[in-house]
Amino acid sequence: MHRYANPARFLKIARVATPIVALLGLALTAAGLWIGLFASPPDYQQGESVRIMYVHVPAAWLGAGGYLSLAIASATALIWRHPLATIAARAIAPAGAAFTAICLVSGALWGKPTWGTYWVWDARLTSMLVLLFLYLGYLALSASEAEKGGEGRAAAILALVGVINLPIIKYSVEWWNTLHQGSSLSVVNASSKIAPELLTPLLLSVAGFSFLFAAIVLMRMRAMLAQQRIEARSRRMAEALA
Amino acid sequence: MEGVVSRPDLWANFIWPAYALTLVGLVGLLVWAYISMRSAEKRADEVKRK
Repeated sequence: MHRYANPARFLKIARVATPIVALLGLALTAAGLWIGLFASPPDYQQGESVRIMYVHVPAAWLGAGGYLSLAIASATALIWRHPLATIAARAIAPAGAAFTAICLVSGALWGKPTWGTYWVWDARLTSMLVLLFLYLGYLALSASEAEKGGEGRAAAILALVGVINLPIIKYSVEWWNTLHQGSSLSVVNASSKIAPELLTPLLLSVAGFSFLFAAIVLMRMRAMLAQQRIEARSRRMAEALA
Repeated sequence: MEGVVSRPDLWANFIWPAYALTLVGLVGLLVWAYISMRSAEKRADEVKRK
């Protein structure tokens, strides 16, 4: 792991990986959404509205999964001071916030025909909204710290404190009597209550969204590393002139 | 394809708005990440050459 924490080595790998990951993401997302829209059957209970699942569920997983990776990167930055960890955390945050927002909006659009309302203060919905606020708080704090030339320690601590929200999101449908349905898929038990005709496009979308998420993070990391190079060079030039 | 797009049940169930918003969000995020990466790397190369 320490081997890849070297920015030069990381850039060498990232330059090759970025287009591959982005193209894989686009292809798998297109396939998943196409099958989900045009080839998969409607659900026997939800009817056509089940098709929102193919964008809502991957967005929800990446919103929560993205936050977990943000917290891991923040912990790595705080404990081992890896040069790439803070950059990784700062690159993950906007993508995670966008996927969480997509999850909330698509969920609201599913709620209207299914529940008769766009929003209820249900435990699952509220904890996802809190996740979006945590992302926005992290973005604001890390941007302010970066502006002052800080290492982003306060933002990293905020990211770690926010991890408490992840089990609340996961178990909200079990701990409280929620309007949101329980989980239909279990990664831990490798079990599914979803029919294969609906599961195939869902898994394709999850894979596609995950690759797109990774491509966005890689591109943001490359942009931030380039910015660091510019700042370092400008500092050296200013020192030479002084 | 045209018949599917004009299907009233997909409009009534907000399928099209949900997909449109998601795709706009995803593509927007990808384009923003790509443009910011390209411009930063270009500037870094220019600064290096100076």
